[in-house]
Amino acid sequence: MPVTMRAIKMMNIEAPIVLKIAAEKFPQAIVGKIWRYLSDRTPNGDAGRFQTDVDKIELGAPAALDGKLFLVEGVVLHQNDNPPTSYEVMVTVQQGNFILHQEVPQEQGSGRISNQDMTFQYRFTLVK
Amino acid sequence: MRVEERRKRMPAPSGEVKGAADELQRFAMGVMKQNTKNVYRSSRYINLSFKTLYAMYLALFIVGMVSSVLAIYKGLTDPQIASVATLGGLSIASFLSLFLTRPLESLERTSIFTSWLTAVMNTYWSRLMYFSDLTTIDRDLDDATKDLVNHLKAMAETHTAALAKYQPPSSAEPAPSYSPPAQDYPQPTETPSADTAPLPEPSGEASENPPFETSIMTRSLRALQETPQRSDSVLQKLNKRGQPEF
Repeated sequence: MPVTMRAIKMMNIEAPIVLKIAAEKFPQAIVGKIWRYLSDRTPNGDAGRFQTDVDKIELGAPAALDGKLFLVEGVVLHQNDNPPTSYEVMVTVQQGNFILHQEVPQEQGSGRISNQDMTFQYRFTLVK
Repeated sequence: MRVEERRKRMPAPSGEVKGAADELQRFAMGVMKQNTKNVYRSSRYINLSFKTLYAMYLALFIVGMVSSVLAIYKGLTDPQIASVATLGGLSIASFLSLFLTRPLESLERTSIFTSWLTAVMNTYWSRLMYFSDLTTIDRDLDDATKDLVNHLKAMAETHTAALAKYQPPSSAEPAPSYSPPAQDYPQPTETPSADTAPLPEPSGEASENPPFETSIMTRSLRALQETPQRSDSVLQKLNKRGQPEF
């Protein structure tokens, strides 16, 4: 599957960018990290971590994030479900309370889970 | 205490304003009293539902037992096949209903949900009781309400999932045991450490079939027991590996 990166346009307001990652349709445990990169794909450190009970991560002010790339790397933890249960990870990029973009990651962002953890990834960039 | 201090610092309302404030206070007290009544009523309703369910299962069991004894007795003493068949059918229907609806599982699930609900409500009311900082009261109340709604939502979802996952046993295979064997509950020490456990690679459907749990409550218990350790383990592994290429 080709790696896709979503370009998300920020609004012209000062409200901070917030990332929300949650398994909304079925209660599944998720955990993971968000990595930040410069526009030339140079690693720029860790932008935050998320867990089932901490699903909102503030990425920072729009001015500082223009052109930055982000990689969401997460794991849906299995609970030995039989029959396998469905999962769907929803990634929401907000600016303040406004939803800029909402999407289920194409790379393993949804499916069924039984006895193996499922890794999902989501790439996006923020532009003014 | 802090509320009292702040009230002392506030200027005393005069005339009409004071009347309106008293009216508002009386209204708030009325709302609180009504809320208290609702909480008691909900609690009674939950207990009554549980007792009714328990009584109905017990009645079903007693009907099955009595009708089976009567069927045997009639079969030995009464040559008429109709009465024996009726009693025997009633007995079989009762016992089949018991096996198919699995009352013990249902009762266990209900009791756990009741405890969960009690804990959530206790937390909510305790938080309300200890809020005393007027400068943050809006945020505190909002947080408490959001937490309560999230807990109730999670409970409702788990309950729905439990009902959705419920599958009556087929006649060809024995009913799965509700209590899983001890090895299905690995202790935290058995959780793969960050050093040894590889990160799961993106792959398709799960292929292996180790012993599975059959109950949603088992799933919830496992989740409560293991998820924090497993989450930490995954995060440690990600930190240790470092930032990947984009």
